[in-house]
Amino acid sequence: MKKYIFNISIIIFLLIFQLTLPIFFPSLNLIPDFILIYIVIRAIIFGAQDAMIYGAVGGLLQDVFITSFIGLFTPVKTAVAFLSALLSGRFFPENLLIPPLGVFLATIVHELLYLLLKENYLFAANYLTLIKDMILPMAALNSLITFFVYLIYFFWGRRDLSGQT
Amino acid sequence: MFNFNRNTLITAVILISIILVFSFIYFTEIDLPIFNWLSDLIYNLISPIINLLNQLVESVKNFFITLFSIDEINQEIKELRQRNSVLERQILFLENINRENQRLRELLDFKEKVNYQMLGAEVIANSPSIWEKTITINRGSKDGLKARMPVISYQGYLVGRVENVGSSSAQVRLITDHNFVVGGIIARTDSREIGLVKGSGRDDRPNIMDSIAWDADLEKGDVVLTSGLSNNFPSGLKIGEVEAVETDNYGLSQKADINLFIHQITLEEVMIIKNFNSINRESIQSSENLQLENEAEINSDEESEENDGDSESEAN
Repeated sequence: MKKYIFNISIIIFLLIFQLTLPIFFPSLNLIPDFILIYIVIRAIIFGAQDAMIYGAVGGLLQDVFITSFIGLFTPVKTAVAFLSALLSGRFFPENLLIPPLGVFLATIVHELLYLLLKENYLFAANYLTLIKDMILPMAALNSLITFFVYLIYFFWGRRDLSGQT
Repeated sequence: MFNFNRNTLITAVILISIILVFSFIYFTEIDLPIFNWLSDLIYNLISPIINLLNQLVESVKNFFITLFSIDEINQEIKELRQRNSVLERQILFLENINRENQRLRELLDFKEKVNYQMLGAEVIANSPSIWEKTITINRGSKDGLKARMPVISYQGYLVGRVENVGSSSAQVRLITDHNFVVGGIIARTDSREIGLVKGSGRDDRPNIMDSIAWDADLEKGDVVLTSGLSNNFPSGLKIGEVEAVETDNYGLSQKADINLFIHQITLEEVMIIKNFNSINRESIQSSENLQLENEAEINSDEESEENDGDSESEAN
């Protein structure tokens, strides 16, 4: 229970950070999806079950700040968490490029799924332009952040291990 | 290829079932009070934290701004005092003109222009998604806010409309959102063309004004205002400027790119028009009443004419 409360608190903190970042830096064109980064990293490290729960919670919180209690982010984030977990246990932790690559692909899938489910974008959107102008830069930004976050996580873990031995 | 353990699969099945049920509710737009209550609860729990954080950052920022620019502030105060005295004189002059205007309106029996009740608010959060253009403001139902109230900037530019209202904060759907549509009118003395201004869904792209008549007179640089025809927004709010005009629907209509005025400013503070809907409703009601009265008058005239006709025929 303690673990769930701790992780949900982190997701709430990330949501607040994501919501307020453009207010403090109005010139930012793209705002990274910190909740997505957190969920994908959790999916890669801890597996599908854990990530899907937090994916649903994160999506639900994001939906509350758009229009309704259950919107599109809840199913999309849960699905992306499930797909990201396919990478879980399939690479060495020393391979620092796998998590950013996972987040890059997850962002593309996440945004495309959202657009396909969004009624007013589905037929009206120019997908090629949106991918080029918005989705790919955002995926690159998310994966860059993931690289540094995973780097910190990795060296933090090694420091703990070296302390034990 | 991928081996998931039993617990993972059970969790996946449960979550997918729950999400499918919720998605069904979302797509069929069934309004369940429990969901609204839960949504309000989460929103009202998180938004005060954002508000507090915003206030904290603002106070720290203001402290440092004051600290490092004390000379500039003193100079500005001096200039503002001078300007204030000039403005006070102008107010006295304008009050006289206003009285004269009111008197002339009464003489000509003109309808009185409505003074809207405004409420200032600070923008405390942005949208959590790149596809949804919304902002969160620090005013809510406690301050009398209701859904669909028009939101403008301090310069009078149309910003959007109130979408969801919490107890101490509210979400505003911006004019740039893909879902946003407002009636627009060209503000030129020799051209009053109308059309629909639709959000592009992107901050770096202009909005589109379409459904314009094929022979409409539009030029680059024309200012677009709200038409007020939809009864959702007051007329005369500044929207933007025409950037480019092109034919649409194989020449049956025209569409124009509109550069929004709100892109020229940083949205930090906005104003909400609180009494527009009630005024609007009153005006609709009064026009309906007027129509009913007219119809009643016409009916009574027809009846009296018929009666006159009958009496004439009886007399004959």
